[in-house]
Amino acid sequence: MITIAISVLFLAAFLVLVLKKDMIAISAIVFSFFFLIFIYLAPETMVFAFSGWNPPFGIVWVLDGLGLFMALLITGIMSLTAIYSVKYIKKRKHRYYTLLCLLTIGLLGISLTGDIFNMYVFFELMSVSSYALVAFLLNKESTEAAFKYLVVGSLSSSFLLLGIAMLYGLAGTLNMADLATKVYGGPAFLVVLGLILGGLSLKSAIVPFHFWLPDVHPAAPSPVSALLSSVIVGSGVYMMIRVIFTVFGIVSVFWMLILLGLVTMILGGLMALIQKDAKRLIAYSTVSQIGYIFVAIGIGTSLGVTAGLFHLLNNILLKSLLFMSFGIVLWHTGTRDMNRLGGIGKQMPWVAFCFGVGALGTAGVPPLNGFASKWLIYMATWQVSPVITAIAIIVSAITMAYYIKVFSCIFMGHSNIKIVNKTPKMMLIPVIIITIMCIVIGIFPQIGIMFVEPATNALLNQSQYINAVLGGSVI
Amino acid sequence: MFENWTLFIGSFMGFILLGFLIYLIGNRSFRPEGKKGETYTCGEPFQKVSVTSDNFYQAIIESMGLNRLRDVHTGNLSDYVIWMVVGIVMIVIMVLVI
Repeated sequence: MITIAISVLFLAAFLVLVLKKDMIAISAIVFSFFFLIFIYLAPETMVFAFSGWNPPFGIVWVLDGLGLFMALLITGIMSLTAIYSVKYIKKRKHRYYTLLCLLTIGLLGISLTGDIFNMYVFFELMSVSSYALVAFLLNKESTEAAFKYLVVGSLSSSFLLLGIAMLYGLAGTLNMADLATKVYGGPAFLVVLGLILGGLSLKSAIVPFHFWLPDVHPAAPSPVSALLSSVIVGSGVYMMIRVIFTVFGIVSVFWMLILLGLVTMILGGLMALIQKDAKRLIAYSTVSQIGYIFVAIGIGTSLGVTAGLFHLLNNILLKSLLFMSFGIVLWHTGTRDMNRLGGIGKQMPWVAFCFGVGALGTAGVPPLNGFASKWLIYMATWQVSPVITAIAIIVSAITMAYYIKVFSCIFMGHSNIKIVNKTPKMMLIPVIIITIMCIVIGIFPQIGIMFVEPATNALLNQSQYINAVLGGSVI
Repeated sequence: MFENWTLFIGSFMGFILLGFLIYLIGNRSFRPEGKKGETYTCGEPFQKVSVTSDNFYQAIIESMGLNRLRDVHTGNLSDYVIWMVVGIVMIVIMVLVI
């Protein structure tokens, strides 16, 4: 069933190149989103086998709460980005949309596959299309950033592949449910876990693997930046938690997640404070927020995992909002330097409002969505150590400080730049939709929790996953 | 828990709206009539300025030595590769030890 969505996207990627009609790609991505909503309404975990080969021998799609949570977020943000890009991207648009379709396939595959090697294949598809998207502007800066991203990305993929190969050698299977029944806490398996987590840490932008993100963001087109900071980083987080919780189920690594999360949270926040480039600042903010997610998930309790996944959802929305709204500023002014911008708020009140919602939401100010998830994170960390809660609150204050800086420098004060053109509606509508979502989830956090809860249950219930895949209910 | 949360957010928004309402009423009743002049005529003339990003938190950044963090992020690919390998070795050791 899910193969239909993937096939439509593959076909669209090909057709948009041949026919040079961007609407084909946009329609395919939007179709995959509505298709997944339809699947999401199904009450149970669904397992689909490829070409009649049942697991553990054949590759399967596993549509559980967590996978569908990610897939819906990915296709939703991809749809809005595709609409936003219609006016933003001016040259070689059909190539851009081909890459966007391939990126969607890669991200969807990562979220829904039940086979760890298949996950690696989709991971590579996602990585290669994102390298090309970063280099899309074909100037010196974007080419250098894409090359750096390519080199470190390939290195991380190598470690990931090495880990998977060793895992196959040790367990004799690649099906994640089957692996879960065979993996134990022996030293060889722990080395494998270390290699896989190390390989995936780059995409998640955990310190000290975060360096690529702030270098790549300024060089990439704004819609690509929005994707990098939201769904691409989110897919890295997804893969890490899928491997830790579903495949390995090793509780002892949770402390490592908390430790890495704390370092990431603090360093990302401090680095954001000293930035002059608005896009670099938002990129470091992403690093900092990823730290929150890992700290919460590292707590390992139901509340902690719910808080972490809820913050992942909010971070995906908020970072898309920030990059897209700043993208409008960049589209008009052509500069990212905060020293050269200023006083644009009066000329673009809607953009200033949307950016303000994104900034305040990320800082965790009520009544926005970031507050709801951060509040849950404070509650979850308080149960383990009030020191962690205190650090999380201090970093929130730092977040507020750097967003005051960026908002003030871009939108307030004396105006240096005159905005001549009108903002295209195609760019403004996706930004307003995400803004509304951030406000609604902030006022009614139950909506967000309702969406996150099936993902939490799927993540914490390893045996349910194994039974669903190996229990014979394969379609 | 979320019922209380809604109450909290509802009250928070209620207070914001109340504040805004008071501001609007106050603004209307004190609206000046006639020609608008300067409040104080003595002193230095007010200049419209924009605060640049360099001015923000400069004292904190310098006193905490945060600029040193910049030196670590060199932009050199070889440095990044070293950081990455160090990170992976660190994670493997942490997984084995913890």
